[in-house]
Amino acid sequence: MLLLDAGDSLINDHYPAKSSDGESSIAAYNFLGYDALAIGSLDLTLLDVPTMTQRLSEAEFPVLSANVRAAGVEELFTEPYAIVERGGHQIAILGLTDAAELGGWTIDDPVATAQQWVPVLQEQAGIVIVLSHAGVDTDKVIAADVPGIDIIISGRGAATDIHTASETGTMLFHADSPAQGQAGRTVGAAHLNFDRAGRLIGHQWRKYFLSEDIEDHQETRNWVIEADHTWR
Amino acid sequence: MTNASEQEGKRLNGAKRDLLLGLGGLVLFVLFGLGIIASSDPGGTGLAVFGSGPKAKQSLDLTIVHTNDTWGYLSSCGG
Repeated sequence: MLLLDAGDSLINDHYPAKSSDGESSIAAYNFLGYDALAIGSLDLTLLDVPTMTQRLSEAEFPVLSANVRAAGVEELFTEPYAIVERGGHQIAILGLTDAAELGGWTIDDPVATAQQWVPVLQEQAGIVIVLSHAGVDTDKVIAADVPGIDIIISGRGAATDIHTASETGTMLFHADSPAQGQAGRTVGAAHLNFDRAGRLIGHQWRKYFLSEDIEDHQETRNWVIEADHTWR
Repeated sequence: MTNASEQEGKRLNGAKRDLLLGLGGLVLFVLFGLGIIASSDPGGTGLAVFGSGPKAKQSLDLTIVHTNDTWGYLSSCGG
């Protein structure tokens, strides 16, 4: 299994993320065992370079973006991608951030960034996943114009569920469409079948809404109660 | 050559024959084994059987659970 987040998940106007400058978010993702998280422009709007640097140091999982740099700095702010292994297959996960004009940050064009990095990843992994906060419309352009991507896990903008680019066969999954009071309540689950060569040969995808109909996982509920005391 | 030395010579020749047969069997065993390795690893190094080469790939069933735009919101579901 892979547990991934496609960005804008560290902070907004919600307690306790706002009061802790995203520290509670990183702690939650550590607790849940996330495999990777992409940076979204909202994260960079609300957290400056020193604070983001501190958040990255707390993360026990890769925080990814191949197109974010601190203003005036040539090097990327985070690792652009991560390689994980599942069942003997090497899986590359490329992080992308939505282009925006932000003080303190430089964000390169996500489409050009994908075109630059995907061939590099193909040399290292048989399966390529793009974990993108570039936005659904931009992600559809990437899916159509950049060959070599198996799956795009998309964030930002209205959720489109499943989209398949006819030009490349790249599949795009997008779970959440946050509304007031509803952020973090939607989870996507993709069940994918790859052949020995890493070709995607089957898929099922479902969206779950985390309503009161779903029974709490007690250990997680206890963690949330503890977090409420910690960051209040 | 005396009878005793003739018998000793035959015994040594027999031992050499047994040794050669044994070595031949060992060589055949190794070659047979390598044949099995080669046929099970076409185009490979033949070392995979010993666990030091590239792993043989299997098909993969992978579940990706994904979120986005959670804004750091934390809440329990069932309450």
